[in-house]
Amino acid sequence: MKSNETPLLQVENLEFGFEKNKPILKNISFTIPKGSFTLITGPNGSGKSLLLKCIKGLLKPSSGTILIDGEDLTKHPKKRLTSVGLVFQDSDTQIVGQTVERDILFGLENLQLPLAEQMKKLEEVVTLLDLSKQLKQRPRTLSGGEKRRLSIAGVLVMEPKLLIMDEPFANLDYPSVLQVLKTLLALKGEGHTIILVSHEVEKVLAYIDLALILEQGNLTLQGHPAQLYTQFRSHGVYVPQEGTIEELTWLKH
Amino acid sequence: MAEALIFHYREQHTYLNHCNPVSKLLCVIALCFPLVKAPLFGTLLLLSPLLLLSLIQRLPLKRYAKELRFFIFMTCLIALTEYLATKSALLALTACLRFLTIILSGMLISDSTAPDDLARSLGNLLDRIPFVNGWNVASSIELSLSLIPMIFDVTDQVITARKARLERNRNPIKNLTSLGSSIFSLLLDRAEELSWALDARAFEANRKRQTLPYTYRDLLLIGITTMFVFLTYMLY
Repeated sequence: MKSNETPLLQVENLEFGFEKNKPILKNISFTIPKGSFTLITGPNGSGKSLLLKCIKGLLKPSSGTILIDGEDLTKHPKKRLTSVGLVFQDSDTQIVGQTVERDILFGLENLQLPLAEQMKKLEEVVTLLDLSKQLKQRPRTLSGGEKRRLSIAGVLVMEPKLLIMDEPFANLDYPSVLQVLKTLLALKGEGHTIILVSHEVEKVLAYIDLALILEQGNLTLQGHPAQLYTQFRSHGVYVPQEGTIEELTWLKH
Repeated sequence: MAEALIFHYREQHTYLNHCNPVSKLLCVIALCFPLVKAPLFGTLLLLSPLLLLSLIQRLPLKRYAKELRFFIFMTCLIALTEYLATKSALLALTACLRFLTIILSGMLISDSTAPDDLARSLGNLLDRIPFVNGWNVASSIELSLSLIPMIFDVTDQVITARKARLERNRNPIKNLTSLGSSIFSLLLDRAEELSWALDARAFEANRKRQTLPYTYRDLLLIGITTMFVFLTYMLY
């Protein structure tokens, strides 16, 4: 990142709790550069999903600031809803359309874009995510990997500045993980800024630019994965000890 | 692959799928009026076009078998209570056919109408009524309709999980209460997740949407329905 370039996301001293004086997320600060691929990881119950929902604008932080592209959007959750795209852990929850096509168009209709523009964006995103053949299918009949790609498409089509994915590999078999991983790398190649929350760090570690580790609501570690590689295990995150980060890639073929 | 769910929209190029949702809704309401007091022949007269439409619509009744068991049970219950009350097999049969007509019309409308299409057509209509926020009402109807398959889904999950854990047949009331509370709690969770998903994709209940046009198909549907309703009234 160029030193004078504004970071895409700046979170400063963010705190969140469901009850007063009982914060779950404590004093969290980090910066995400534009076009970067970031991994947020940590043990169960460390507050990863809550942090995503705060950034997205679905939950209101108790204190702290959230700047997106240099603009303070802490008090504008509605603006954050359109600037930040969140792909939920459970694809079935996120898919609301009766067909693949209708689901992708759902967000565009909410943005009240003209029909011609909606169709153009639809075509672009289905080509990118290889969903052209499934357009008229009911989402319930899709495979796990296809559902995950549909949920990414539904968010991506709204052209958010920041794309956040909560456990994108959860409950997927090996071929589906590869499909989603290839999709993520294609998006990274196109210059999208991506934050990924995952326990399965070995699947992405070779490709990420920044890693953040949350423990009991605290941000305990952040930096380039190559620098943090040896410290992951002591922070409750499993990584294979053999070989280098580059050798961890799932896309050897 | 997920199993088929009853009362769920299927995208198809059929006659009913291309009709305006408001026309379909009006036709179902119109059919219900004479159905209340229609004799056996009148009920059969109202049921026959629906049977024909279900063939045209290619309703996958075999795939719905699991959920249809509930309605078959209800039909038997209706037949029994009607027979015990009137001691007439003919009246019991008529009551069953009336119930089946209502279920079939519900299946046809849900199979051929996407909830968001219904909302955009109904919203436009209701918004013309003074002091009524038509789009908001239509969105509420749309979300309520989306919950129907969710209820079936959650019920199936809860029952399967209980069977898998060898639940014993205890007191039926205790069983029902426990089952109901599990379903209700799971439904609340799903509803919360759905609400987050809608917010995340900038959904606004009050937003005006593009309406669907009325075509010659709607005119034909309303015309045929009016004819059948008129004929049934003639049989009274």
